[in-house]
Amino acid sequence: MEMTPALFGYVADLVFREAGMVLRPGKEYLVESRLKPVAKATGHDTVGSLANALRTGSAALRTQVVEALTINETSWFRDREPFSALTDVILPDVLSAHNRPVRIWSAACSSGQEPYSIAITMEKALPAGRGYQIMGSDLSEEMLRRSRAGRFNQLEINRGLPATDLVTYFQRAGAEWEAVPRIRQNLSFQRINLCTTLPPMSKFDVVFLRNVLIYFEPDTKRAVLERVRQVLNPGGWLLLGAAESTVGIDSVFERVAVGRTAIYRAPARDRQMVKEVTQC
Amino acid sequence: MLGIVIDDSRAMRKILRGLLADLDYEVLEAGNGREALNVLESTGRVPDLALVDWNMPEMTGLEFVIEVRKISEMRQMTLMMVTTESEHGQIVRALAAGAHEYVIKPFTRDGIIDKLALLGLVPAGVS
Amino acid sequence: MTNDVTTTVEVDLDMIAEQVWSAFLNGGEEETIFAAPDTGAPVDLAASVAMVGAYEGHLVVSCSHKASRDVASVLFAMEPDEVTTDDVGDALGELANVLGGNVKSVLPSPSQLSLPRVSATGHERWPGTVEVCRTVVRWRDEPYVVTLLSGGPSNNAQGV
Ligand SMILES: C[S@@+](CC[C@H](N)C(=O)[O-])C[C@H]1O[C@@H](n2cnc3c(N)ncnc32)[C@H](O)[C@@H]1O
Repeated sequence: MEMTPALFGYVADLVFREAGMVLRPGKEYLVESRLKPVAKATGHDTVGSLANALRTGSAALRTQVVEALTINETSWFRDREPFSALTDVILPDVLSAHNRPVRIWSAACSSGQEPYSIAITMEKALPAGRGYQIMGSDLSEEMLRRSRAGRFNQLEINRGLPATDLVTYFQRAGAEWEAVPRIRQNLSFQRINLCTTLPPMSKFDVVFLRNVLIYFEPDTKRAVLERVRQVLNPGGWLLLGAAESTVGIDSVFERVAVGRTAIYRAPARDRQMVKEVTQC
Repeated sequence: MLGIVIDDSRAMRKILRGLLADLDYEVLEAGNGREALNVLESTGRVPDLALVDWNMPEMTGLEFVIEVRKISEMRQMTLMMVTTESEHGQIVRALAAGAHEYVIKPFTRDGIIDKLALLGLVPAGVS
Repeated sequence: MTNDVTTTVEVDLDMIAEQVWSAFLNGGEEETIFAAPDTGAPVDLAASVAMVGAYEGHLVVSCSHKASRDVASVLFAMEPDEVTTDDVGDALGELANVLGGNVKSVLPSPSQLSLPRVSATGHERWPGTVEVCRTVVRWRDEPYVVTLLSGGPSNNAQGV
């Protein structure tokens, strides 16, 4: 069965509804190449017939299709600068604000390189006696399974993990490398769809929301940033991908330039009050 | 920037040379550690970067790293192992001997470039 | 020294082969490589590396002449009819080296890897070895047989 414009439209609608991701006409080749393995695995001759089956198919089939169409590209210490900002600017601020464990959310963590990179940064930067907790979340169950396993193959390891970190924080597990228990004990993972109401959770000091807003429409971006702001402590920090910004979408976050990059800050409760006083 | 690719496989040297050339490097080549020491001595130049295989005839990459770290003029050269040796202990040994980074074969182009970026060895404006 | 027969080794050859092919031979493009059924198709060339030390054995990759040219043509970025016999030996040898190193890392250590050796399969023997596992990779319509052999003399294969 052919992949008709109507079937493409159906798939695009589904992906928008379930993941907030926009698939414009012209992305037929992407749909075709990503869904080919799913079609094969589910006994469909063509991607067209898989798309057709979605209309009447199970929720599990729809999830499988949505997951296959998300982009999971990631690497260790991606862009590096957000991680130096974490050590140089964010941590000193958070450590002076309270004595609790530092809480960080990696909000679209893909196969885990981002939350594990954060953990390595914390291991190196935190003073003795201070703890940390990292929560990783993603839409995709497959990505969560891989993140939880904390195992990476050789090709993934080569993508930007410094050799000294590799030998310090990983051990061999067959043909793969596995994060050591010392860092794994600080990580937890949970499925969260950023496009729906967030589950109840304790507030965070820092949120990494990197390279996921780019797939969303302005309205979705605004809603996601709003939700993220609700789970940040006052004065908490937000890190976005290199091609992402709150500017023009959310005016509450303050943009703070750090080196060649920018990080964002939720309003601090007391600071805002000071502002209001001076305004009168 | 000047680089030297040390590997006994001509195919591997060609791949790595091409990759460095794309990053605007001038590239020297050697088929083993001994040959590399000779090339360095005869050209009298200090490369910014050496990509070093481990298993090679005559002088292995590990032996090369140990030797070259003894030469004070070569101190600024960044040594990156690019090898199929991939046990935890082997990586520790290479780092202890003075290698700065380690890439396990098989690698992708992006993998090498990510590591070079980490070392500040990707010239600005080249991608 | 031969391997302690009580140590069972588990090697995920499929996974290792898949990584090696996708990184080295697929040049980032999405070409399919899959573990194929072993049809016992005749092979012409074998490249091998020996492991010596805590584990004793050989990693062998064998394929047809045409397949070996395909590998060399990708690694050397040349047309298949331009590659020389030397190029084929170099490329196939490097393939065995990379596969061997990755396989060695999941076997008992420490062991050393020999330099690769490439020759016509008709002349290659590994006396006293047992096959531990094998996988067949199908790439560009050609099968490549990757085999892990255990035991045997450590001075690599003996020509006959
Ligand atoms: C390109 S990756 C980014 C990974 C990592 N943050 C980084 O910067 O390297 C995008 C991730 O967002 C996830 N994703 C896409 N839509 C999502 C949604 N609506 N809710 C949660 N995660 C989503 C995908 O599954 C994918 O793992």
